[in-house]
Amino acid sequence: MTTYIMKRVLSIIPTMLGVAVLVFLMVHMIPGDPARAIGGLEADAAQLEAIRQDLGLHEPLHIQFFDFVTGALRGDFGRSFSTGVPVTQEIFSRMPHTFKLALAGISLSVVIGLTAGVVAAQHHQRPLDNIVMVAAMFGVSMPSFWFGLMLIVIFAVTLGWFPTSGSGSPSHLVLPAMALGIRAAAILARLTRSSMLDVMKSDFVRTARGKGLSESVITLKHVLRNSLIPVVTIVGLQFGALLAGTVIIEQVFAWPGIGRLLIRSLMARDFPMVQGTILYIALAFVLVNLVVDLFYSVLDPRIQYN
Amino acid sequence: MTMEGNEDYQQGDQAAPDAVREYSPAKHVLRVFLRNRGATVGLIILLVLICMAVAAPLLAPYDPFEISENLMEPPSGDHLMGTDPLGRDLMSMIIFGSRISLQVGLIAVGIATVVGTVFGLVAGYMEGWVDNVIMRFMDILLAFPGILLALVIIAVLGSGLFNVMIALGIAAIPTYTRLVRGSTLSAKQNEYVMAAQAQGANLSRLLFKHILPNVMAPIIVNATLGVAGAILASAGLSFIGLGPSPPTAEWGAILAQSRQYIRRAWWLVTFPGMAITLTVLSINMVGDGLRDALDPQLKE
Amino acid sequence: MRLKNWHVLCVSVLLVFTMAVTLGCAPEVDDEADTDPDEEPVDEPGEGGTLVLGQAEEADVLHPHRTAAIAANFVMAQMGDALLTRCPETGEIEPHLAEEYEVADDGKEVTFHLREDVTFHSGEPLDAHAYERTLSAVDKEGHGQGAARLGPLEDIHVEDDYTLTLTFSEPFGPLLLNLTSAGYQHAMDPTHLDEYGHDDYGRNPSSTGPWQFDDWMSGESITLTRYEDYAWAEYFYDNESAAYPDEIELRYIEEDSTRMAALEAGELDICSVSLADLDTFKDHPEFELVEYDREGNCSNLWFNHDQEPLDDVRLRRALAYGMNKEAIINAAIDGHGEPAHGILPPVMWGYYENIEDHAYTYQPDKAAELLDEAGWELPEGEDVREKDGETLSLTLMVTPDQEVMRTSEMLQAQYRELGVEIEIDTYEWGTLMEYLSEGRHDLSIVGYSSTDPDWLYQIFHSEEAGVGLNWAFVRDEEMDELVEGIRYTLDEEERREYAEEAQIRAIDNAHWAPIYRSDQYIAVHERVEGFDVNFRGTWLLHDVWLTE
Repeated sequence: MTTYIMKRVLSIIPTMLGVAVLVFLMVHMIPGDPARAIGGLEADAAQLEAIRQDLGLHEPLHIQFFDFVTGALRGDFGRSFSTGVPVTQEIFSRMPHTFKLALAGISLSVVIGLTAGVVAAQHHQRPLDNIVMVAAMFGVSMPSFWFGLMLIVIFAVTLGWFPTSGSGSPSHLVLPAMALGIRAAAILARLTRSSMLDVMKSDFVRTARGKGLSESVITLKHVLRNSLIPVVTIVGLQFGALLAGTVIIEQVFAWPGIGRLLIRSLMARDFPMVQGTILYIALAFVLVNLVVDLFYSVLDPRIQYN
Repeated sequence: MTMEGNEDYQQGDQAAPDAVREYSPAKHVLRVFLRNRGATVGLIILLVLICMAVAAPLLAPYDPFEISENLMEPPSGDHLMGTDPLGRDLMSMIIFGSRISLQVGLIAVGIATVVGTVFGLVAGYMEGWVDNVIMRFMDILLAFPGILLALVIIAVLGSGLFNVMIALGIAAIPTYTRLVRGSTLSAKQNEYVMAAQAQGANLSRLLFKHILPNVMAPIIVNATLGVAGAILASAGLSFIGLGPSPPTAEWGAILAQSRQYIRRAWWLVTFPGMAITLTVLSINMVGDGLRDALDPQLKE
Repeated sequence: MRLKNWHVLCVSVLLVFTMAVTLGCAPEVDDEADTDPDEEPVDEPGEGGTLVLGQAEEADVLHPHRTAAIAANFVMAQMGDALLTRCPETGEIEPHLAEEYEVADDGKEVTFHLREDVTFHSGEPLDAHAYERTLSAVDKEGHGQGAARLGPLEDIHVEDDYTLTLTFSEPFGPLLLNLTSAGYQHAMDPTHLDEYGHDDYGRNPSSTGPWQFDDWMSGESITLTRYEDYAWAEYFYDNESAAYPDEIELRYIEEDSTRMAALEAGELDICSVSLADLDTFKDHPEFELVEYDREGNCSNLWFNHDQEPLDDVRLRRALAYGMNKEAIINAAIDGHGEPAHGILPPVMWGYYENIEDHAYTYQPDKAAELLDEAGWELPEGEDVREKDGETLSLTLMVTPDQEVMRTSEMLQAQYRELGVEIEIDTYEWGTLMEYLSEGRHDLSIVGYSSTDPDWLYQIFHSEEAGVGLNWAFVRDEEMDELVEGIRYTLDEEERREYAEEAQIRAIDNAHWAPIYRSDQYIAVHERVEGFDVNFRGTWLLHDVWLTE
C-alpha cells in the first residue's frame, strides 16, 4: 500500500512535466500577437518591436522554453504580460476564490443530492421518486451558463434575495454555488438512490426489518451509512469536475477566480499567465484525483493494487 | 463538459476496471433496454429529434436564414416560438439547428471513440513500453480538467464548427483510451483470444476481430453519454465566444447570441435552452438504459 | 487645436481661476450650473458614501506608459490630472495643470508653465522635475498609449522648477489634444517610482488627481479613496475642493447580461447601458439615462484592397450601395442608432459636414449594375454571381460580439440578394487582429473611437498596411499625402482642409463602408446627483454626490 501511494505520488512529476511542455507548445501556437494585445490598436511597428524585446518574445522558441521550464521548477512563471504582476502572486490571490466556490458548490450538491437521493429511494417507484429522478435528469442536462443567468434574473433581479455577481459576503456565494453544484447534485441524487436501493435489498437490512426496527431508523442508520462509500468517491471526483466548471460559472457571475483569469489571459495573449494558470489548475486537479483514488483504496479493500 | 459527461459515468468502470464484460446478444439487450421506462422515453424523444433533423426542410415553417421585418416578435400563430432580432423564425432555426447540434455531438464523440479505442487496444494488448508511452501521454491530457483542454485547442485552431468538433473530440480521447485499455487487458485473458494468438492471427485481426467485440459495451455506453456532454460543452464554448460561427444555427450558438435579451425576450433564451436540455436529457436516458442493458454488473 | 489663439487661451485661463468667467465655452457651463439648481432646488451636496461604477473590462496596469487599455485610462483619469483639459461642451483645449503654455513658431517646441500649488497623494509637490521624470520614462519604459501619444518627442528640458519644455523632431499635430488625457498623461509620483520601480508602480500608483488608489481586488474591483487636499479641479466643475463621496468602487463584470442585471438590481450607481437592455432602463423610475455621441463609428465594413476582387473600386462601391443601414440598425441595435455616412463622426473636430453628399445610399439596382459592369454576372438560375468561372464569395472575419454578429448576418442576407455570397468567420479579438494585419480577410467589421482626424493616418497611410491599422490595405499616394498633412501640420485651417479631403477621398474610393453609430447611454441611479458627461462621453465625476 505504501509503495503504491509513493508510486502514485511520484508519477505526478512526469505528468506535470508533460503538461508543462504541452501547455508551452499550445500557448505559443495560438495565433495573435501579445505585443499587439498590450500595445493596443494605436501602437506602431517600432513600439510593437520594443514590447517584444521587453517580454523576451524575440528570443528563439527553445530559449523561451528553457527559461519557462527552469522558472517553473522554481515556481516562478515570470510576470504577466498585461498586468505586470508576478504570475504566481496573481494565481495565489485567485486560487482561494475558486476553491471556495468549488467547495460551496460541492457542499450544496451533497446536501441537495443526498436528500433527494434518500427521498427518492424511500419512495421507490412512487410518484415522488419519479419527480426527483426527472428533476435530476434535467439537472445534468442544462447548459450551465443558461441556468446561471436564469438564477440571476430570478433570484437577484426579480426577487432581490441575493447579489447578482462578485464575491465578498457569503450571500454572494449562493447563486454561483447553485449554478455550479446543480450538476453534481443531480449525479449524487441518482447515485445515492441506486446505491441505497442496492443496500436495501441486502440481507442485513432484511434482518433489521425482521427485528421490527422502524423504517426511518433502518434508512438512516443502516442503509444510508452503507450506501455512502460510492457516494464519497463521486463527491471527490465531482470536486475535480467542478474546478473545471468554474471556468464558465465564474464568467457568468464575475467571480474573481482562476477560471476567469484564464479566459482573460487567453484572450489577451498573456502567455506567462495562461501557462501558469493551466499548470496550477492541472496540478490541483491531479492532486484532488490522487487523494480521491487513495481515499477510495482505503475505503474499499476489495480493490487490489500492485 | 464532454469530459464531465464521461467522468460522471466512468466511475462504474473504474470501480471494476478488470471486470470482463459479456457482450450480450442484441435481443436480450433490447429486451432489458425496453423494460426501462426512462430509457424508452428517452429513445422516443431522441428518435423524434433525429427525424426532425433529417426532415428539417419539410418541417420548418420558414427558411431559417430568411430575415424579415418582424423583429423579435413573441410567440404567435405565425411564429410558434417567436422571432429573433433579425426577424428570423426561431422555430425554424431550432429545427435546422438540431442537425448541427447532433452533428457536433456525434462527430466529436466519433473522433474520440475511434482514436481512443485504437490507442486503448494497442496499449492494452502490447503492454510494455508502448503501453507506457501511450498511457503517460493520456495522463498528461487527463490532467486538464474538463473543458479546459478543448478551450486551449480552440484558441490554437480558431473557432469554426469543425474545429469545435475536433477540440471536443481530442479532449475526450483519454477517457476512451483508459476505458478500452482496461477492458482489453482482461479480454486478452479470454481463452479464445489466447487460442487465436497461438494460431498466429495477425495483430489487427486479433485486436479488431477478437478483442474489440469484448470491449464494445462500455464504449457504446460512454459514447452515448459523451454525445450529450459534447452538445453541452459546445454550448459552453459558444458562451465564452469560442463556438461555431454563424449562421450555423447551432443551439448553443443561438442561446449564447440571444442571452443579451434574457429579460426582454424570454422566448429567445427559453426555446434554444429547452432544445439543448431535452436533447441532452434524452441521450442521457438512452445512455443509462444502454448501460443497464449492456452491463449486467451495474444493473440495479 | 486653436493654434492661432494661444494667447487668448492663456489669458482665458487666468480668468477662469480668478473670476470664473472665461472666453470660449466656459460661460455656457456656468450658466447651466447656475440655472440647474434654480429649476429644481436640490440639497447642498452631501459628503460620504461609496460611489459604485460598473464596467465591463478590467484595468490591466495603472502605469500611464504601460497600458493601452481604455479601462486603465479610466481609473488613471480619476487618479490624475493632465496638463491641459477640454471644454466639456465644445472640446476646445483649455489649460489645467499647465496655467500657460507657448508653442514655438516652427511648432517643434512647446513650453508649459505649471501651477505651483499642486501636490501628489503622497504630499510631495508636483513640479517640472516630477513631470520630466514621468515623460522621460517613455523612452525606457514606454510602450503603452501614454508613450504612443507623445509622437516624435525628442527632448524634455526643465527650465526652472515650474517650467518645462518639450522638443519634437517634427511638429506633431495631435500633441496638445493628447496632453488633455488625465489618464494616459498624468504625472507619476516620484516617491512611488522610487519605492516600487516601474514594474510595481502599476499596482501602487500615485498622482495628483481627486482620487487616490486604495485597493485592487484582482478580477473584481478597484477602490479609490478621496484625496482630501485636492483643490485644483478642472475649471468647469462647481466643486473646487475634494470630491464628495468617501470612496469610488469600480466593479468589473464582463458578461453583459450580468452587468445589466447588477445595474437593475441597484448594485451599481453608474454604468453604460447595452442597447439590448435600453428599454429596461428607459422608463425605469430609479434611473436617469444620460445620452452622448460617440467619437467614432461603432460599425464599419473594411474592404481588403489587396484581395481580388475587392481591388476593383466598382465592387467596393457596389457593396456600399447594397448595404441597407436602416435595416441593420433595426436588427443589430434595436434601432438605437443612426447610419454613418463618413469615416469620422460629426462630433470629432475636422468632420466634413457635407460628407453625406458623397455617401452611398441603399440602391440595390445600382449595386447590381456595378457588379455587372465589373464582369460579375448572375448566371441563369443561380444565386451567386460568377466571373470567369469563379463565384463571388467573400470572407467576412469578425469577433463573436453579439452586435457585430447580428450586423454580419444582416449583411450576409442583404448581399445574398445581390448575388454575393458572404462566409462569416469568427475569431476572438487577439486572433482577429493578427489575421487582419496579415490581410487574410476580404471583409471585416470593426468599430472605433478616436479623438482626432490623425486616426485617418493610422487607417489609410500605405506604410501602416501590414504593420499598423491599415487593415483595408489602402495604398494610395494621394491619400498618403493627405494624411501626412493631417499629422504634421499645425495650422488649424490647413489641417482641417487635409482632413476634409481625406474623408471625401476615402468615401469616393469606398475604402470603408461606414455602417452605423449607435446611441450611447449611461444609466445613473437616482441616489446619484451631479453626474454629467462631456461632449464625447467622458464621465465627469467631480460634482457627484450621493443622497443616501
